[in-house]
Amino acid sequence: MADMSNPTPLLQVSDLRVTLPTARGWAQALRGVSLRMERGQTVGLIGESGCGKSLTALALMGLLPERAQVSGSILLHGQELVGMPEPQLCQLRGARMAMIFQEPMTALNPLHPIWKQIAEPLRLHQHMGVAEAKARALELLDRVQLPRARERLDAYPHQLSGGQRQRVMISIALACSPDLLIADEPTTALDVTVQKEVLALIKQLVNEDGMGLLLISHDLGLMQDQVDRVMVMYGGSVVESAATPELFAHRAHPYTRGLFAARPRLGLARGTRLTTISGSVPELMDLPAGCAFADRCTLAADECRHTPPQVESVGLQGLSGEPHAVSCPRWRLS
Amino acid sequence: MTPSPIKPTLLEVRQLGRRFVMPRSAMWGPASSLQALSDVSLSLKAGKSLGIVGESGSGKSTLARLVMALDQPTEGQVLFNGVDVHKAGTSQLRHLRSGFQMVFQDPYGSLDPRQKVLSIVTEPIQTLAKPSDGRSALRERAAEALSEVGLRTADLDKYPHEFSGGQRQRIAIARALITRPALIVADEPVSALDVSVQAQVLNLMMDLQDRYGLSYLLVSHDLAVVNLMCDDVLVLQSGQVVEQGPAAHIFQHAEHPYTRMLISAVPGTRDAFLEQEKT
Repeated sequence: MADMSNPTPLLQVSDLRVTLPTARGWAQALRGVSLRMERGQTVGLIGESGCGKSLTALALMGLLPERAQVSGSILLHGQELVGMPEPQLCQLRGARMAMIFQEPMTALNPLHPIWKQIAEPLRLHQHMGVAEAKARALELLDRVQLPRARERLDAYPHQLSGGQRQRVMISIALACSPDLLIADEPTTALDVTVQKEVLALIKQLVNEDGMGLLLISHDLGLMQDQVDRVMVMYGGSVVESAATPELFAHRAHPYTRGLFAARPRLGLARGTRLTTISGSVPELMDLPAGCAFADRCTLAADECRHTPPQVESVGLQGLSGEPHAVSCPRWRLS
Repeated sequence: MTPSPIKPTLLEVRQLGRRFVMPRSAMWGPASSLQALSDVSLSLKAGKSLGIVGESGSGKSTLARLVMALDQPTEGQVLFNGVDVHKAGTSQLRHLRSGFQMVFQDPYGSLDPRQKVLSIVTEPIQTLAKPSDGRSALRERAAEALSEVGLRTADLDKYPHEFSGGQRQRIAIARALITRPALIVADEPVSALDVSVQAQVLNLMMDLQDRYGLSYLLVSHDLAVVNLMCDDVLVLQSGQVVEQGPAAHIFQHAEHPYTRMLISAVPGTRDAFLEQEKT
């Protein structure tokens, strides 16, 4: 919710553009992403593979490949992150902003016991001693509700299940009480029942600490349960953004509508054919000059292919007063 | 396949069990074992689909591998058209296998990157081909299988890396279809695909079922996919069947707490049930 008494938002991203080197030349991977987030707010980024959602997260964390060209602005508490020297970024990463990755097995170091990995940010950013950091690690493991936490301090990642490893990842991310937590598909590798527990845990911790949460997922149903506001990405741009209930009730962009229609849902009759979006996600190199979705869109006209779409207001305001914005000049047509 | 009023039972699984011997924990102690699957019975009629659901480690994939005769059971039988696939000799099994084919989860790992689509798709029939079948006949059948799944004849001479994930899964389906099987065992066929592409592949699988009276044994963790594709469903927990029956019934009136938990854990279930009430 936009808080007028606090003019400096937690995170303000303006016209973020990222160009990546590929075998076929430079590819425009992010094409002007803007977002604003206050403390305590939860925002979801949704889209299919290659839409730029993970890249947005990496850009925020300053973890892009070295040759990537970044333009635009990322302000964390009003501090510019684009172009910030690496040593300074290191001070922020893990301390003011932290990230939970998709695959806890590869994100954790298999050679260190888990307490050491939780203690690492504490020792680095808060200059704790070994004993103090280990005691804090135990508190954190208790907080993420890892069963038998005391015995597990000395466990290695392979001795834990996927859900338990993800809890360890979360405790590492939370170690220094960051202001911004980025979770990139945190539960995609987990079973549905475990997924539900881990998501509930993240939600609870975010509420308790008043962090900002940027949740990245391809799962629409998950977004509905987890975040205040959803941003739909396609071809490196945000095509629609609105408060979650508003987006679920009035989807405006043809791509958002297509995504909703294509999803198999409980309650559909056996054999129902799903409504598909024709074609497939375009390669970054092959994006048209205009709207990236134009080639798959049923509403597309010639202008769509040549002119980048302007952001339009859908007019309906969500309960929270969040604007509902859509990047499509023809959204009213259906 | 000619449609008949009484559908014969295509696949029957009787009290199937699989125990794995685990590595010894001590040098002299007895090796421990893991009962990955126990006492699973099911039957599947021609033209019908059965969904196997459960969490990781529940034995879903073990069951699929046993049905495909890729693994030997420690107890029980798998009968395909009345023939026990695990008692069949190598050459008999090779012929039986043309009746049941498999589609795997990972469209990147399941296609050999060094083979062209032509040899990938025709692999199941190469061993069965008679000397009289020339290369052109193989190519013709491969082209037919590709057009079945919405790909073009020109794609036969390409390599897997030239295709997207959804197209690769179409190639995997074409490879399964080329023997004209009665049963396709699909282990998480769409879980690696994006939502918009997943819908295309699911629709294709349903169209093929209508056209050829195929049966699917569909292994999936995604209850919504099983609900859409399957007539019957079997819920596995730690290798045991906790619930089985018509999908429409189980998804609305699950009796076992585990099944209910699985259903309620699906994100966005709230609106799913609202939609159910509307229809």
